[in-house]
Amino acid sequence: MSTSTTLRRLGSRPRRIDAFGMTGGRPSERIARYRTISDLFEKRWMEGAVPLVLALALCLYVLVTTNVGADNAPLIMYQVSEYGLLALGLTVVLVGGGIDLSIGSIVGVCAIGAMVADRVWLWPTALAVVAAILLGAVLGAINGVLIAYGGMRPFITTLVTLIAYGGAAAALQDAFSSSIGISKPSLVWDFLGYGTIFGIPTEWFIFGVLLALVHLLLTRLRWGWWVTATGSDRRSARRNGIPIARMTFLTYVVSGALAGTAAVLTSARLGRTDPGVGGGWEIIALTAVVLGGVSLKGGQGSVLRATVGVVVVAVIQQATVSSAAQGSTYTVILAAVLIAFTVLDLQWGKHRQRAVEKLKIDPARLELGPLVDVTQPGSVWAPNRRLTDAPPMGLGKIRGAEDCAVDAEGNVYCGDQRGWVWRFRGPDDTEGEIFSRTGGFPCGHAWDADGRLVVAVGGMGIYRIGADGEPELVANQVRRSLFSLVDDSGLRSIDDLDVAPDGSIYASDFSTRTNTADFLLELVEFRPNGRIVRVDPDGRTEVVVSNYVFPNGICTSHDGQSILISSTGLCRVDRLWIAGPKKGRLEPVIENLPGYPDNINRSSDGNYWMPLCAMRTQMADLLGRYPSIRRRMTREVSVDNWVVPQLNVSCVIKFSDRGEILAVLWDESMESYPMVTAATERDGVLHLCGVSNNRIGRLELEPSEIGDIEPSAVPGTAAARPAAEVTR
Amino acid sequence: MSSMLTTLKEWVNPGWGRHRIVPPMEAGLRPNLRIDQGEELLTSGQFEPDDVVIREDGTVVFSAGSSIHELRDGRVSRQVVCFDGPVTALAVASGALVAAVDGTGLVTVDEAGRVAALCDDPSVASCVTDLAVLPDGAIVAAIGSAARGIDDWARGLVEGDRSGSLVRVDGRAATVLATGLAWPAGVCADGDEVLISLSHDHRVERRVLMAPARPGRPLAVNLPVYPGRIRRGVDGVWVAAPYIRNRVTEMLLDEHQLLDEMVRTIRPDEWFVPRLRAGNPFTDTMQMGQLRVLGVVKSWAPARSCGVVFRIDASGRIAESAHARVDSPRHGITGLAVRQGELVVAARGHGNLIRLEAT
Repeated sequence: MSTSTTLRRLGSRPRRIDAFGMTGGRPSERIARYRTISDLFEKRWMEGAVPLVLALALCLYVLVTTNVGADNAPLIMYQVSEYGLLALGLTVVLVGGGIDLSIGSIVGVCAIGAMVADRVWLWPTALAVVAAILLGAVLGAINGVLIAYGGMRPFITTLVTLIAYGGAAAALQDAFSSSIGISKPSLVWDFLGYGTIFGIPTEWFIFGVLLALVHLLLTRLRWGWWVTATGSDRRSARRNGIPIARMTFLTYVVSGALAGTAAVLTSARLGRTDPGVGGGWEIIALTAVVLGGVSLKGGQGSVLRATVGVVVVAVIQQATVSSAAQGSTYTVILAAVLIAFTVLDLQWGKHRQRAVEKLKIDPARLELGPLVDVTQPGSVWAPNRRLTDAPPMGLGKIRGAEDCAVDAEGNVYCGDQRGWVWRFRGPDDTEGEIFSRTGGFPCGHAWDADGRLVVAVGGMGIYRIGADGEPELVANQVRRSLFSLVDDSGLRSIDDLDVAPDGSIYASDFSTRTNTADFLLELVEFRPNGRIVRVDPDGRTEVVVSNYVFPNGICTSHDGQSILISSTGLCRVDRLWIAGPKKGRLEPVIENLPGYPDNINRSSDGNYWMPLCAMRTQMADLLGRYPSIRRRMTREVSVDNWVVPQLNVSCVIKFSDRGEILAVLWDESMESYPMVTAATERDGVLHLCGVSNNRIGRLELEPSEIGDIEPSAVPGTAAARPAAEVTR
Repeated sequence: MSSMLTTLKEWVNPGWGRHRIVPPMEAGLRPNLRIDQGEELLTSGQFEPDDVVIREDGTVVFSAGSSIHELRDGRVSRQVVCFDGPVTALAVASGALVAAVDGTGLVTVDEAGRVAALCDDPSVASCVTDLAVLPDGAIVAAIGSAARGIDDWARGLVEGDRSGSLVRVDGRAATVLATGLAWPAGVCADGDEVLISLSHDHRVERRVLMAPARPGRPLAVNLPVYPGRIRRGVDGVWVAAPYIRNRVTEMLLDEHQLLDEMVRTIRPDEWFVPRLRAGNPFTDTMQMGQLRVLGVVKSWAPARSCGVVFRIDASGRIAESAHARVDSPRHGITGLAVRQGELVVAARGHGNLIRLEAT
């Protein structure tokens, strides 16, 4: 893991480097298993997917274990069309937050009514067909009036009308049983029953067209959204101005009309009616839609999935018929399936979101090298008090300046957790002023070649701030990566940035998963969630290094040939070559630091300042090797109790281009400058920023520590010294 | 496999789930600043007082390391005696000072500092955590562990030590009353019963002296602290709480593999266990709530050490308590003595003796 050879370059994308190898993880650990499940469960389409997959598995099981085969396909299709029309209507009602049990009886009434109109009253057949559908709509409207305007419970109302309409059907049948038995030749009847449209049986065709229509209605038209809104939450739907009574009423009308259509098609196919037609169909349709993942609680469901449920039900029915089982067996099977899937629907709906939350944080194994004992006297690391007495600036004004930048006049610009960029006019300005309001979480600050302030705004992207304090967007997204379950195109967690000699901006996006304010989660998870992004001067963006564990500090090297990157998670600093013979390669500079490095900045003597925002401890390293225990911790213990590295102890180190540690500055008291996240040098003063501190420290450097390079100027530009003069 | 079974059981009936739950500090244990506001009797850090008693004449006597010191007029300190091994507990029995000396046994010390052996039975020769005088004049000693030393409290915790015992010392004779206890750290006579605090079990219980081996009746269970020494007060008893329970430590106690590796590879002072005082921040791991935000460590930060004493009244309820702030320099209260409306506590963690008003 220590050499650059393991840092593979992907052949297809020549400039993107995959840093996963640095973690030392096995290839199988690239995918965070629990998190993947969490990401999948979070998808909206997962709502119905699990019931649907189980339903299809059930269907497959029936097809394999019984003698239902291709011969039965036409019959199954006819049943799918007839039950399917009921299921369409029932789905609309369920999505609208109601239930319609009376559809079976509506089929009965309409089927017999159509026959009577056709054969007894001798209406033209086409008229009888239309009348039957209208009759269905009227019967549905009765339900709708009672429920939507009468304020009655859908379940009990439609149960009552189920019985009432059933009685009406039986009465019609009794009154006309002798006369409707005589068949009457009719072109319309034959067309509906046995005709074809474009080679497709009429019945299938009609169902297909209605399915497409209702699907479009529910998902693409305002009417469908209103129905869904009513079903999800009546109260908020009403407050949003949706006429919920009319919506509810219309769902029952649609359901009734579709039941009437189903009745016509059945009558046409069978050419007769019997007293029991439509009896029990409501249970079949209900089972079908529940199998299809339509929620009984309302607001969720799709007619396409409901249709799959209908297929499953029809296959089961054919299986019972063809294995010569009794009709009651079918009812028992249906009831059992209905109960099982209703429970599944309830449990799945209830626990899905909880599972998503529980599995979201999925810590990875973190194996660091042996820990240097910094308390050992005599080493370069020995604790001291150099930072402790640095005079504070903006004390009590600032809330969490992650980084700062100092201009030629000595004005200090720094971020604030509240989204502001402060300006302090010189060291004596105790009041400061809000220079800019970004709306995000300003982190890294840098100057570009034209002397304009470029700020990494966490949660928003990279912004350039003009002299008037007006932020101007530079970049806030990259191309979404292939095969990622979550959208990682947004630059959510931009942390530090620097400008290269060619004017392009290199920035670290420490995580594609967490928000900037939740950066401590990354210090529990230690997953390669971060990346390095390059913004071209023309505004194009690309990911140059991906799968990086908490990349944080970014700094263009003094010679302008490479970018130094610190990985807070892996306690190391790497160099990305952007010019010269090694261009495009990532090489280690420092590994196995005793702490977690943060922002990097150039120093005036040709070296680099970098704070360690937290220190490693034996216990933290040990927990790093037990990801399952950290996962348990995130689930069982409150956030305040989570074990994180020692963030109250921090230091600032100076290191050379070769990775030697030249000096270590501590705040041994841990009270003035805990968790230093950036150290910026300008004019002989080192500015100490901390993302959770209420001040910036102004440490006067010793004359021997100060060189003649301008640290904040972009290397290779006129303001900085020529690269050749930099001693390495 | 067993973890899967317990998960399944809990899934079937959440009531069957067994988790180590640390209750919040509430009701009688509501945090306050009484210890921080108490009067300091010693220069902080000069001694490491472990146990403290008050003689009949009002002299405060405390043990620190291997020696016993005396505080007269509330200020001046003199060393009474110094032993070869650490003094681990003190008691006053019929006017004489009884001390448990590790490696020696129980001894009596008179005012002039003359030492006389009381009992050198091996059962009381090491890891005596507390002494109590029974009404009949005999002494009951709580032995933290048969296998570990007095300073191995944390090792006992992570290794699940239950070898503590209760010993009755009657003159030179010693009888073991009860064994298999989870680090008894405090004992106090109460009529024909004794109260004992079982530190690793975070409970205080009563045992009948006639049948001390029988399981005790709980007085306070599932405390948010590890209870220590118990002293009789005006109403009920005062209990010192040297250590506080930490939710992450509680979780780690189930993770034997990690604990094994921790014990094998990490120095004990860097273990993630409760302490008498905050550890060295350079080597100690932090919990998220302990982060210094805007210059302040929040008072609700999860604690690894505490300064707590509490009183259990006659009805068995925690009636009151005295606390030190989470970052206070008065943590690790191991000893306490009650006398006439005043309470003297020994904060071994930071080396203090503090006088509080007792009710």
